[in-house]
Amino acid sequence: MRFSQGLMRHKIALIVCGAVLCLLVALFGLSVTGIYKIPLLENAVGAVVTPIQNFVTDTYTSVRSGIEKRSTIAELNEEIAALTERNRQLEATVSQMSELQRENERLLGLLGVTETSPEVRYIAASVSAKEPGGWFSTFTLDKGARDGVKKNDPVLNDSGLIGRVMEVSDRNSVVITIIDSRSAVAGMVERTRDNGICHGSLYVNDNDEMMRMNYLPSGTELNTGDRVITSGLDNIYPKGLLIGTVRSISRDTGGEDHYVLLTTAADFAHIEDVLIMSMQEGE
Amino acid sequence: MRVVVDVLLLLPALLYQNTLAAHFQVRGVGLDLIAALLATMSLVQGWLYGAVGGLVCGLIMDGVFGLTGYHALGYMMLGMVVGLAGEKFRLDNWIGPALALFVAYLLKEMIPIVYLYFASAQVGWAYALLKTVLSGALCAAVFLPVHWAMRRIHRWDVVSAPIFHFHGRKW
Repeated sequence: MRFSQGLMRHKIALIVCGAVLCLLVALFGLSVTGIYKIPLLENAVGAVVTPIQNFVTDTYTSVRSGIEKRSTIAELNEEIAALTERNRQLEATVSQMSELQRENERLLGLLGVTETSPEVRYIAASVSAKEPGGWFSTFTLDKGARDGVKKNDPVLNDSGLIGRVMEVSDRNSVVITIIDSRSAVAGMVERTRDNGICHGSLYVNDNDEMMRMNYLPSGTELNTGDRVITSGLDNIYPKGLLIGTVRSISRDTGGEDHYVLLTTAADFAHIEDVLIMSMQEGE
Repeated sequence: MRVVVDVLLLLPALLYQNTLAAHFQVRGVGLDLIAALLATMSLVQGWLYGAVGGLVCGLIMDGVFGLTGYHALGYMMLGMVVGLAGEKFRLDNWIGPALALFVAYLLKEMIPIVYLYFASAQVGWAYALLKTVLSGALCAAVFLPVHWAMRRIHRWDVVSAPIFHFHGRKW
């Protein structure tokens, strides 16, 4: 009774709060479907918060890497020897590839095919904030429109594909990762050349970073460990970027199509520095 | 002065939530420090205070992650629910407020769950619900010492001196 009287006393405040909640529901709906955003909010918050976030993230990263750097000199020497050997192998491969590229150019010239692929510029960026809730896999980068970042630019690191730029403001940009359940990437099994769609999957197996590849042709023979790369058919990600490897192969309940679970190439829990592939159409 | 103290406490919590919280999660289960702080502020200062605080914190988070309305809706709802529960049950004990926060946290997490369900997202629902319950329990557990400390701080003369009065409370 007393509670009800209290509520009646604050009727206007309750009505206003209810209206604000309804407005927020509508804004969330519009925002999540990409129909409408408030760029002013993102720009204002980004201008103020990004430098502070960078400072906190950099400090944390420095402290953590300082703790983790406990390799002995012997281990480092072994690593150097292995890398030297690997470098020698790669140099041989590069030499072979250069020859193939020259041959390819020569044959394309004979056929009269003009090179039309866009020029790519790589923009190095650092992660300044990560979505903490766990329901959406997004993070914020310290580079924005004024650095040349554009919406839908692919983002990767040395391990493989990370995601694409979802939002761009002046000083920062928000990346939606390929493991976000809203993400879909056109993928291809490197060995068999079978095409499919890779979807982000949340908490499929105790939060392991995995994706599910659907719509594979029936009768596809896959092995665990097969590499899955981008096929380029979605017109967002260029062909050939490593998505991950096949972890397990299943059939869905309908029994018609294969779907496979992928282990992503990138370690999404420890992303610090990334490269943004800025596509610039060649003249 | 309460409003100044609360802002000074919420700012580092916001920074932690935006930057470090994702690193300290264990299998998706992590602490929502903003929720714990908002809950105690809402209980001490009333539901409207919690609602406004939640709205402002949420809008800042939305500005960072580019999903307008998502965090603002969740935190505003959490502030309101905990504050209203506090007024209804006169929660001076410890279990009541913690339980109210746990329920409010589950309600807040229903927003992405409902969205992902209707968006037909590929989610392992059993583990997702377990993660939500565990995160809520962690938040409620951390809330207890935070609430104890905040009640002590708010009793200090320098803190309890009002800057202005609004909605029948000292702000």
